Amino acid sequence: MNDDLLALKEKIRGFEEFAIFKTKNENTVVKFVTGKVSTVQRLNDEVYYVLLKSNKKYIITTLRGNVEIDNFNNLIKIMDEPKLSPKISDNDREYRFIKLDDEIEKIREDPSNVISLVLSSEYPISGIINIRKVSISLLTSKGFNGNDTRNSIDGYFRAFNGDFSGQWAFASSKYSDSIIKDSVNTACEFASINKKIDIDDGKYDVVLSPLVFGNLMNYLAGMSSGLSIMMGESIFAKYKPGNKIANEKFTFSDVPKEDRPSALEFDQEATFTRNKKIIDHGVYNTPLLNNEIAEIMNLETTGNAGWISPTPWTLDVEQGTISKDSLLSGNVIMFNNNWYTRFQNYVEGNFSTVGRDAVVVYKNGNIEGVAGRLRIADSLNNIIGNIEELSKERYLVKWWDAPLPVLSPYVLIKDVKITKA
Amino acid sequence: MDLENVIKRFDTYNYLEARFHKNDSLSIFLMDGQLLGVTKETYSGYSVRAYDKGILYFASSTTPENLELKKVESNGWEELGEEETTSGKYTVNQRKTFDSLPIDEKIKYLKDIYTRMKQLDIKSKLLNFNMYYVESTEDKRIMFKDGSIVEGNVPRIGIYYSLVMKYMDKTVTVWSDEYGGSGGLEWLDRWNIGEELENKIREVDNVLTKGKSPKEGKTDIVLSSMLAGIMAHESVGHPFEADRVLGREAAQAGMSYLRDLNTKKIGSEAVSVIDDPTLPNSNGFFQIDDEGIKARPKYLIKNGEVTELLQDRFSSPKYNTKSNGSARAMSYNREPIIRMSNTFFQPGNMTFDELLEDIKEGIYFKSYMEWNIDDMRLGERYVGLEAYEIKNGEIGDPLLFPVLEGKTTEFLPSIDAADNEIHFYAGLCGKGDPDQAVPVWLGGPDLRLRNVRVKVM
Repeated sequence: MNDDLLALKEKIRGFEEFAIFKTKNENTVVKFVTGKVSTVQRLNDEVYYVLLKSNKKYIITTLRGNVEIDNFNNLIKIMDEPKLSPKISDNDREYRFIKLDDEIEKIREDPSNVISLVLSSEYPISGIINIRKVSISLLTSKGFNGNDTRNSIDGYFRAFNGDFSGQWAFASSKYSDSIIKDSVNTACEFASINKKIDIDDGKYDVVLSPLVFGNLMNYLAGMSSGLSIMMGESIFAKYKPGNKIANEKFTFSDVPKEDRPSALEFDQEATFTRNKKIIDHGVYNTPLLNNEIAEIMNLETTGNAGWISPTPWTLDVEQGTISKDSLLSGNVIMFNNNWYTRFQNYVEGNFSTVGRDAVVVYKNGNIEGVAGRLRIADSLNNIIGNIEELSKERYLVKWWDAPLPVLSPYVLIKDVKITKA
Repeated sequence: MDLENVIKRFDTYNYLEARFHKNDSLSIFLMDGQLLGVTKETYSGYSVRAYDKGILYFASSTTPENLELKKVESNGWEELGEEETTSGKYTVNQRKTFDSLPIDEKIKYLKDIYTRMKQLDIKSKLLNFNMYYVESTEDKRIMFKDGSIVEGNVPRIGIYYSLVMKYMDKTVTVWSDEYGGSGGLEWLDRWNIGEELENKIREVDNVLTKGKSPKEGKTDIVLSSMLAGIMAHESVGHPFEADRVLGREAAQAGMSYLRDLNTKKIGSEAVSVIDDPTLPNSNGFFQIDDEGIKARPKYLIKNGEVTELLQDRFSSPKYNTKSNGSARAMSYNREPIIRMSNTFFQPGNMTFDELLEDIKEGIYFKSYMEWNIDDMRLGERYVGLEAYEIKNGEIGDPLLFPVLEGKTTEFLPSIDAADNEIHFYAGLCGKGDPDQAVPVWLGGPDLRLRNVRVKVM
């Protein structure tokens, strides 16, 4: 197993420790523009990330297409001892995980069927379908030799109905025609709401769709990385595990052991991954850690290396107890989609993001109309602190502004600051 | 030979480009003055792109033999224009090559900046200080079906930082995307990072310790070249990308207000915005684009009127025009798409003091900490970081985080003057799916806007 990595290992001279991490991606991408195909892409990518260590000193090199290791010994000699240094786990196992969905493989070779499904929509669709086969390999000087190979499909669709639009997304490690049809239909349903309404600046109760909440959870996951916390680029920088930081109905996890896109069996330091709650019923449970940052924080690695920078794998927001329709039964603004989330202050979590597609105003549970592009200008702390309810229904989504897959419910949040974009 | 073989393999297509593209980089990361890590990267590989019946087929691989194109039967959205292909080479020379300074000296250069900041006598606490240095070289060789060849070689250097400051219960994040250009280590001599950063930290400290609340309402404002740059890039450059106007980015980064604009007049006489890839030593430098079209400066807006969009081979026929050489790909595994290069407001002929002179009451936005815009590039928001009141034509007290919120179509007509100093800031511009980040400059002079709405955070 991993013969190419073993051959590369032979070229490494003069280092006490090393790790070679390889990603091989074979992706088919289909891009749609207003009900037609714009481009079909076949991207085959192999990247070798090589970690070379002498005592605490290290260098990381990325090689793609040119698998030759330069002589880094002299470079390391003149470098300072770094503040952090990757620690490879004492794991000498040979480990292989393969899970390939046959239907996904067929579509990856010939996407004609999914193209037909998308183009038979009620309204013209713009969007993307990604069909991926990803193979991750790791070889370490401690004897670990592992491979994780799986495939997945994800996509997002924006449906256009004159001045109105709707969007939906999906991600899955299993293929069925229904996931494409359902996503396209949901986007079209949102686009079919064709009455306009004007909304003033103020505080409102809002319902965030899984697309919008998924986007915010991507940021929250990034902030939960131990390195982000150390660098002061995180709302978690002010807290310690055990602190209550959100409504008790909110549980947020990293779940690499689930059968989902972007899941992984081992991290870059050869630690086997595990599911963990980052926030457990409103209480900050753990940051995401690798060996070196766990040591600094007096905690255990969570299996999220990233050498130096711990990284989330695939995200999960626990479901609530009421239906999505019940969330919309009062006076709320439902954000179908958002765009361009920008933080002004990572420690305080202040951000703004602009709603797009169907920003639907409900009064007594009835649709009053679409409010156009409203801006949420609040803080992430308030968003997770003011959660009132979450829906029973959850949707696994991955889209352009939420690159990590998130299984998320619809979420009702009280008193969110809204301005007109 | 490698590219010739690729062209031969796929010569049944009526448009064809084959590309070898290599990106080398060395990055150094520092946290609180200590080395965090060094990475040395090489990304290189091949791509081929072909056009058939309205569909663009694109394939990429680390080896040319693995490139594979498979047609599908479907309605295609793309159109191909008739264009001349330009052969040629472009390069940026380094007066001081990257290897003229050993890596330990580069690390020392960055550490010295941190040491200087730590010694500053300020009331706020400097909680975090992260620095990132990157030197890179981009090499590409592109061959077209007619045998034309384009070769490009652009070395670049950039320094970025982020820091967190705290005074009592107020915390701010300060970051920079200012220092970047093409060339070599001579940029380190040109940039005066230590002094500029000292001044910035002192000013932010001044805002945190003495800043007062701004007044809500309509007022005159002056936007620094930094905010002018972000406005040129985000509110003019992006919405002037023809593919965005046509909807090719509709499900990704969005569309453009130009779709619904029924007039050529978009700004005041004082507003001219240019995109120019040929600026020497710029971050967004190139002389021939990735579709073999000669690059040139483009007036997007001239004296307040829309004059030209950014076009490539596939957008231009939909406008019955020609490509103006705006196609770029980030790396071998990305399709060329319409991109900005160096986008900026044209300077005027006033001095900064003259801009202020007849403002009785207003706000000077010197830097910002948050910015965003909607997907039509119409509604935007800037939260000031270093911001000051203007009183009777002079800079006054610092203000705590005034918010400028409004529409592009309100801001551009409200600009009544620009001063005569131009500054450029480095940035990475994101677009597309699979995502592509390309180096750019954004900039301009200081701009004066009349009677715009300012909010309180």
